[in-house]
Parts: sequence; structure tokens; C-alpha cells
Amino acid sequence: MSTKYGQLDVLDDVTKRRLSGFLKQLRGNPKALIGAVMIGGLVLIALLAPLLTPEGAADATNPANRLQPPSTEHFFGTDHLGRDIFHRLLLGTRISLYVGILSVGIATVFGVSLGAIAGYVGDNIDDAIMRPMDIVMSFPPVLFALAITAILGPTLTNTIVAIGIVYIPYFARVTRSEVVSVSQEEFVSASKAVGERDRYILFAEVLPNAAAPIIVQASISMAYAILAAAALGFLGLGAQPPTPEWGLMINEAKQYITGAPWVAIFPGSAIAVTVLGFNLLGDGIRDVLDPAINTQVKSQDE
Amino acid sequence: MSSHHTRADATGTGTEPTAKAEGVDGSGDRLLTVEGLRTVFRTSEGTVTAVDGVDFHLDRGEILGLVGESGAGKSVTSRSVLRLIDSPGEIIDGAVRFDGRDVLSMSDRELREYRGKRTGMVFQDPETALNPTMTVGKQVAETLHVHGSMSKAEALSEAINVLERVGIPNPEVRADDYPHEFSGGQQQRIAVGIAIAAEPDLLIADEPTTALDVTIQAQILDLLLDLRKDLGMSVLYITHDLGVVKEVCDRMAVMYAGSIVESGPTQKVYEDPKHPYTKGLLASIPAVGEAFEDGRLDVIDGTMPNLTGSFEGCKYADRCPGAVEECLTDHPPLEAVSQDRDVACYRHTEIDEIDYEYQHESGTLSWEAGNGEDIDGNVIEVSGLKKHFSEGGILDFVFGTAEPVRAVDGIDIAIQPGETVGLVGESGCGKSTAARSIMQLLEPTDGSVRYRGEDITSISDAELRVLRRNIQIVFQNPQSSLNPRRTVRQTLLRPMEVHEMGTKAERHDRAAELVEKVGLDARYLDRLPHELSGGQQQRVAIARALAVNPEVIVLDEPVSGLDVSIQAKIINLLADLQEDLGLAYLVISHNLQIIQHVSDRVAVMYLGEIVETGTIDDVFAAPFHPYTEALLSAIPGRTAAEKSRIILEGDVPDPSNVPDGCRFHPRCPRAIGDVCETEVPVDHEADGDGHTIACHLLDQEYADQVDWDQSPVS
Repeated sequence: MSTKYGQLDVLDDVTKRRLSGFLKQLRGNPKALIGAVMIGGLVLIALLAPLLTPEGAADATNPANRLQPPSTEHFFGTDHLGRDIFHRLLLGTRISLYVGILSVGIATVFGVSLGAIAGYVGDNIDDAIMRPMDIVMSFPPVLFALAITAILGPTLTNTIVAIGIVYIPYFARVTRSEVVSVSQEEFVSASKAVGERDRYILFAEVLPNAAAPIIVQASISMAYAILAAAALGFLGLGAQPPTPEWGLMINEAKQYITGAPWVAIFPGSAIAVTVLGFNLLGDGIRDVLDPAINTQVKSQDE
Repeated sequence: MSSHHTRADATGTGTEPTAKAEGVDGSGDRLLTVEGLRTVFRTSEGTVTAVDGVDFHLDRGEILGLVGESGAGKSVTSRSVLRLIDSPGEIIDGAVRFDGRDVLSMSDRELREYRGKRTGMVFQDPETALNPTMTVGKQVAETLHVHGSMSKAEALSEAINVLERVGIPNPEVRADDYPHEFSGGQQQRIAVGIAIAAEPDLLIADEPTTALDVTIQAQILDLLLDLRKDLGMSVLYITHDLGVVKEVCDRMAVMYAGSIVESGPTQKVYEDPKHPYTKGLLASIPAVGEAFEDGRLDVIDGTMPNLTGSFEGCKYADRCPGAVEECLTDHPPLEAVSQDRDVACYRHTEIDEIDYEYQHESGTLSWEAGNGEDIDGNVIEVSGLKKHFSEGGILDFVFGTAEPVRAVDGIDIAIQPGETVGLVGESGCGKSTAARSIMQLLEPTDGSVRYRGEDITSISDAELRVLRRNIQIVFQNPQSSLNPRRTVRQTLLRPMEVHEMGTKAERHDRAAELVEKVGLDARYLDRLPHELSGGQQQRVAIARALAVNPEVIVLDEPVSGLDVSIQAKIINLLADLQEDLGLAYLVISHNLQIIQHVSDRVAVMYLGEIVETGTIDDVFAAPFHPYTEALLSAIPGRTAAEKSRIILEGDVPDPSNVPDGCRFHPRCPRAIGDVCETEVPVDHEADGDGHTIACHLLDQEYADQVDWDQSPVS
């Protein structure tokens, strides 16, 4: 028995083992696999878009060339100002992912902290945190985000902030219920009996064991956030022209939709693909993390 | 399977007389014959042979106990008998004959009739077995209506008779209630009612009392015996509890790793086990009233083998102290050794030479002591401890209607250094709440807890955190008590880090020392909890408690989630640790056998109060508190059976609505009238060292009314 075991090595070992098991299961889940491939592709496009698109191609207007149908020159056709829709979509990927990740990030940070405290402390603190959350949740999310952007002003950043705020209660609720149930576990009492501080117990013992549904919630919320951002963009309260934001593109296309359907179809499909990807991934992760499905084989030797 | 052909011949003729079939021609009396039954489950890890060539038979009116530890294949066997095996499981071989008909070749229609009318099944957990959205009357009637020829109205009125038969008071009214309106014991009665409504020939009871308290268990066992007598049913009784088998079964069959290793009349198997596994199991249970020379139980080493893949030799060979070469190469068939007994062991004639031994080399841990000087007095002194939970919302609070749940209502416990105090009672009596309140995991409502004279209920949080290292706790459910994301090493290091004990290298050394001390070895250090068995998890939980050198360990049902053979090992381990390290234990359990085996002194708890306390010998002998007397009497298979069993009526009452006077009086078989209903009994000093009983019967004026040698008439 070597006592030279650095704790870090052990941690790495265990984490590696756990992670490889998790990834193996994810690979075995068709939903997760397809979702991951779709999201992976989108991330790749977002990263490579500036290389694929000629400088200024997305914003270059060319009225002579307006509303061209899809062709080898313009894969997805051109819009009412003669801009190449394909290139605009490529650049828009980055914005959509940006909106999704940042707004969900805001919602996660605040929602998880509030929910964790509510669930762990309980009683009056629980009510003080969760009842306002219930009130926020009772508004339709898009409507509420609309109100916030209307107050803050219609910019992409404000859209992100608004969507983030709107999704805080969803994260708080998921986290709270999970923290409540994990807190009942005896290992929590055991660490209290050892003399741990509450802060340590909540963040180091309870939260890591409550992470699974939060991850699922984050993945699925990403889809909703992108959808909400598109909706705000469509209503003119999100990103402003000439930003190649997908929702905004559909908004601008709406008057030409009968004559030149491709101006709306392609941005719409882009939104659909992204949302589908996140939904599939979220569903897949849920399947894999669900302990009822994911049965562990126990060791037999004593 | 080589065995099943030989057995098929023996059972097929059906001429063996059995305990219950005296004087009757065997062939007409045989209800169920199972031969060479093999049931497999095809999993991603391989094919698991859960039932591997099982042979047994059951006569009319007979109760056969199928015993074994978890994973032995008892439940799969019983489900195979009903063909209730779903994919990925499959019955691949063997025969099941019920009343002359081949169950395995029945059509769907015949099978429905067989399951619905001819057989009934009762499961372990009544809460999940009953439909929560349907009144119990309808649930019973449904069985009668679907499988019988009765109309719905007839079925409903018959259902009331069934409910009455299984002992539901006031059945006309209660038939319209939903399952949640009944107590656990009554729910199980209803589940039995559903199973026997169609008056089946065979009742399969799968651990029907495991989830129930010992006093409720006694009621259900009594009910099953009555039903057998009235209806002439046969019962296939599946259990891990050897005491229950002794209590109710005519014959027993012991299962191990998918095979029956021994069968025969219960009494004979008990007195003279022929298979080493049976012998080991019987040696592993602490029996009330039996003395142990060195305070240790005999234990079976190892665990049941993994049933994936195929086997050569006897599956028990690697745990068997008497295994010889032959055992490793050939599988012993189940052979008749006498008229009514079968054993699957090559060495059954030499069973007396096969002995289990338990040896303990005493040793100590480094960094021992450090709890301060030795003291004369009590290390823990609990006085007047109360824990009330107020339920109900703000409205109840405003209108003052909320009655608090008095989980713990003024208890006194004292623990001396190196001593074991047992706290015993039915579920819901408040014993776990008491443990958590003593540990300050729950803030007590009132009273004090002194550790070495210092009241830990009133010190600051920071002081308490430091003090906590002296009082540790081990919980019932080892799976829940270890953080699933931490390795054993991380789990053991953390308490030492919190209390800043030693250097980092010393802590790592000690973690290795600790796992060895609890009977594991260093390779377990890097495992995660789910990679360990239940017994191993509990060992890790004990090691974690030891990590900070505590002086007192509170053990909350430390073995009740474990199998018998593992239980014995953990009990021995705790005894060893106490001897080596001078620990004091507070053991909380509903199991009187275990309490008696491990404790020096015991406190019996009922509805938040301690009703009797004293040394083990004093409490477990007359004079008793009537509740203690009933608890002792309810232990199944107890040796001293000269007195008739006391069956307590009803359930543990609701702690939010405690009875006036003596809290036990509504259930007390020795209640003497008004005084019990109106006056709260005081603690009476009984004979013996610090033996107190809170019962009016100990008053001078009533003392001559009671004869402890006579069972009370209830």
C-alpha cells in the first residue's frame, strides 16, 4: 500500500472512470447520440462561420439580386435586400448559441443558488424564495421576457438578460426539489454528525448529487431560450437589423413569404434543427442519468 | 442438472408420507409438485440462472417455508410457480404440476383461472400491492367478480365477509374506505383478503411480514394460521426470517444460490440441520434467552456467488468450512436422507464435524484515546429530552388547532464509558428521533444532553462542531449513508480533515488502517459505494465513524437492512471494536434478539416515552412492563414457549394524539381499569440494579393482582 497517493490522482482516476462510463452510456442512447451530433455540428459551424463566409458577404446588400431562389451561387437564395441567406444563417448560428448559453448560464447561476438554499434551509426561507418564484412562473415566459426587453430596451444583450431572468424560477424549482430529496439521505446527517459546516454540506455533499436533473433542465432550457430569443427577434424586440439573427430574419421575411418562401423557410429550419438537437440531447441525458433505468451492478464479494 | 431426474422419480410417485399428510393417500393429497425448475434471466452481463433445478412439493393444507438470504432465488421460484416471469426472464426447464395439471403448458385462459381462482399471492409491501385509487371493498370484490360467477352486487357484499374474515373491524363501513385510511398491518390484512377471496387452494406469501413491526407480524401470522385451518389452504411461505419459519411452517426448504440445499419438517431441520449452510444460518441468529460464551456469533464467511454463467461443483463450497475436493468438482444432488428429509451435500453424514468458528485477534488503532481522562460517571446523560414536531400550516397556528407530534416526550438515558445501551420499540415509537436529537442533528424541544457533564444542547455551533467528533453515528441504510460520489478513501479522510487531525500522510495511513480494522482491505479504498455490497458499505460507514476517535457511537438499526449472515458479521465486528477501543454504544433497534445480544442495559420505548429500563437480565425477566412482555412474546420462534403468545391488538397509536393516562392502556392486555386510563404511571423501582418500570401494576396496591407466569387474557 503506497501512501504516496496524491489525492488529485485518485480524484482523476475516479472521475475518469465515471466519465467514461457516462459517455459510453450516452453513445448507446440513440437520442443522445443524434442530439450530440447535431449540437456538435452547430458548434462547429459557429466556430468556423467567419472562415466560411467571405468578409462582409452577409451584410452586403445587392438590390439588383433581391429575392433570388436557391441556386448554386446562393445555396439558400437571397433576401429582400439581396443578401445571401446561407451566409447569414451561418453567422446567425453563433448568435443563437450565444443567446442560449448565456441566458441559460444566468438562469442556472441564480436559479440553482436560490433553489439550493430554499431546499436546504427549508421553512420560512423556503417560502420567502419560492413563492416569488411561483409568481414569476405564472407569467408566460415569452410575454414576461417581452416586458423586460421593452423596459430595458431592444438589444441582443437585453434579450439574453431577460430570457435568463425568466428561466431562473424553473432552475430554482428543479434544484430545490432535488436538494430536498438529497438532504434526506443519511450521508448528509452523517457529515453533520462529523462536524461539517452547512455551507460545505450544501455545496460539496448535496449539490453534486443533485446535479443530474439540473443538467437535463439546462440542456432543454437551451432549446427554449433559443426559441424565445427568436420570438423576441421576430417581434422586433431582440437583435436589431442588420444582425443576422434567425428570428429577426423571419420577421424581415414575413411580407415576402408567399412569393419567396425560402426567405422564411431556411431560418425557420435552422431554429427547428437547433431546438431539436438540444431537446434530443436533454432527453438522452435524462435517460442515461435516470437511476431507475440506469441500474448499477453491485460487487458480489465480501 | 443431474439432480432433477432422481428427484422426479421420488416425488412423482407421491407416496412419501409428510408431516401433515398422515394417514391420507399421498397422491390425492399432493397439491403442487415442482421438478427440476430452471428460470434464467438474460442480462447484458450474461445469463443469470436465478432458479437452478429446484424440486419441492406441497400437500393440501400444508405450509411450506422457502427460506434463504436475498438473491437465493426464493421469489423467482414462487413467481415461476405462477408463471409470472416476464422478459428478460424465462422458465427454461422443469415441470410445475398443480392438482394434476401441468402449469407450464396451460393456455392463457387456463392460466388466468389458475392464477385467479386456484392461487392467491401476498407481497411484502401492502402499500404498493393495493390500488390507492379504489376502495378496499371494490378491490376485494373485483377478484370475486372477475374470477367467480358472482354479479357485482353479490361480490361487493361477499367482499364484506372477506374483510371480516381477515379481521378488519366494522367491515360494512370500512369497505368504502381507501387503502391509505388503514394502518400498515390492516393493509396487509386486506392484501391477504384479496388473495384468499376466491378461496384458493394455494396461497403464496412472499415475505408478507417483513415490512411490519414484530407485534403486527404476530397478528398476521396468526391470521394465516387461522385461514389455513378454516379454508384448508396450502401456503408457500417465502421468508428470510428463520424465526417465522419455525413459528408457522410445517416443512421448510432452504434455498442457496438458486438451489434447494435442504428440506424437511421444520422441527427436525431446526434441531438437526444436515446441510452446512442451514447449520451456519441457524448459528448466525442471536436467539433470545441463549447465552454466548464469548459474546460472538458464529459466522459464515464470504457471500453468495454471482449466478451468472455456469457452475461446477457445489455453489456453497467456497464458504463451507467442511468442503472437500469432491465438493469443488461435482454438484451434489438433492437426495433423500430419511423418509421426509432431503439434503444436497456430500458430507451430510459428517455434519457434526463441520463447525463454524469466529476468531478475533484484538488490536488497537493508532491515535487512540485523546477523549480526555477516564471518568467515573456517565459519558452521555440525557434527561427530560423532548422533540415535538408541529405540523400544520400558519392557519392552524393562528387558530391554535395544531397538535404537535410528540415523537420524543421526555426521556432519560445514561451511558457509561465502554457500555452498550439498547433502545428498543416498534416503528413510530420515536427511537430514531431520539437518536437524532441526542446527536443534535435535530434540535431538541426541551431537555438536556450532557457529554462528560457539558450540556451540548446549549453550546454554540462552533463549540458543538468540535465536540461532535466524540459522538458519532452509524445509520440503518448503508447505501444512503455514504455519499455516492466519493470513494471510500475520500469518505474516510474527510472527517479527519474537518477536525484537522494529523498530517496529510498520517491521515492516508489511518484511512488504510481503518478499512482493515473493519475487515476490508486497502484495495477497497478507491472504490465507490455502489461497487460495494450492503455489508461492505456498512463496514465503511462504521470506519467513517471511527475515523475521528469517538468515545460514543450511536447505532441506528445498524444491521436491519442486511442479510442474516452479514448481520452476524457486523454484530461481531461491533463487539470486537468495543472490546479493542473501549467504545460506548447506543444501539437502536426494533429487534429484541439483537438488542439482547449486544446490550448491557436496555430501555424500552413506547410512544415517545421510556416505559422500562434496566439491565438486560432484569428487563427480559419478570416483572415486566406489559409492553415489554408483549414484545418478547411476539418474537417468532422463541424458545421459551410454555406461555401462550400475547397478541397486541391494534397498531402503534398516533403520536400527535396520545391517550390519556398510561399511553399503552388502549392496547394493554393487563390493563386494570380506570387507573390506567386516567393516571400517568410513575417509574417504579423494581428489583435489580436500576430497573424501573412505568406501570401501575407495580404499585403496592395492585401488585398482588398480577401473575407474571400466566399470560394475560386479552
